[in-house]
Amino acid sequence: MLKPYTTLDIIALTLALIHFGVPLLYYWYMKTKHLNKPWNLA
Amino acid sequence: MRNTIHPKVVFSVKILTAILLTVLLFVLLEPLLPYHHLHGDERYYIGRALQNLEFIQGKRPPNKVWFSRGNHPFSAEFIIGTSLLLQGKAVAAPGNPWKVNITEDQLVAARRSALTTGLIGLASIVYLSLSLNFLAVPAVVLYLLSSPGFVDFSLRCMLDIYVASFTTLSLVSIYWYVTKKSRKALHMSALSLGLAIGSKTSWDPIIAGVIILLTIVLIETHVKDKLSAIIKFTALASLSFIATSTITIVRLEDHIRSVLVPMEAG
Repeated sequence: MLKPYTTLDIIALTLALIHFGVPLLYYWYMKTKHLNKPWNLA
Repeated sequence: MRNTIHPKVVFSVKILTAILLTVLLFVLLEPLLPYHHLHGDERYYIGRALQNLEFIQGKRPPNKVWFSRGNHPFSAEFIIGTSLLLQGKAVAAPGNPWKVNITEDQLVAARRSALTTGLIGLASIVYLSLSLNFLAVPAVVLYLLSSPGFVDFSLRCMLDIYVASFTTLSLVSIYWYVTKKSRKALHMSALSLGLAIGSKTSWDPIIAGVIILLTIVLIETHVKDKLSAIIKFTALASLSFIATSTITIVRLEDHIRSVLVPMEAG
């Protein structure tokens, strides 16, 4: 049977979620904002 | 007429924001220093820092300073030792750095320099983010503060945070050099890279050095300027390395041996 989550487990999960989630959110934001616009590289 | 903010004001606001955030994080993280678990290697680096400090003060002959791996010069130990001295916590160096007898007060004092260096690295990324996109700032700060590696190493008196921060500072300065063509930024990058290599000669500062040299070649227009920038960069990086890892230069033969012996054995 699985043991109940401790406070430390919850802190670790929250930090992991922030650590991987925030860059993904930022990537999604930048992609929707800039990717479909002309890049004007030439 | 369109109202524009003077670039110097924008620059000052960015720098001020980065400094304020650094101070705020220092105030938040500093109370944690006594409670963070002691890593065995911390004793060793503090012991080496104290030996190096005595060597600089002329109280210890160069051959009585411990050399370990070849990729461990003394720049980070120089900063740790100077920081201990400035805080009035420098004690007599042990003969064997593993056997240093440190109190909690001295450990916290040594860790303060690691935390300050880590936060300077973070501040430089905040400055860079402010130059790119405002939302990148919370993204970067949250990413770093939720990283066990960043927080753990910032609270410990080990070499990793020094090499990471100085390498970051060096690359951020190069962004400044590329966008503003600032010579001062190039010089700052060189000084930071010398400190990074002097803290720990790992792949990170070596690759950063290659990237910076390629950037100089691409950015400067004339061959004469390219050569002059490369020579100045190399000279300044060497200068900051030599000034902080003097013992490595004084005992260059031992240092080279400590690099080559593990290679021959492996």
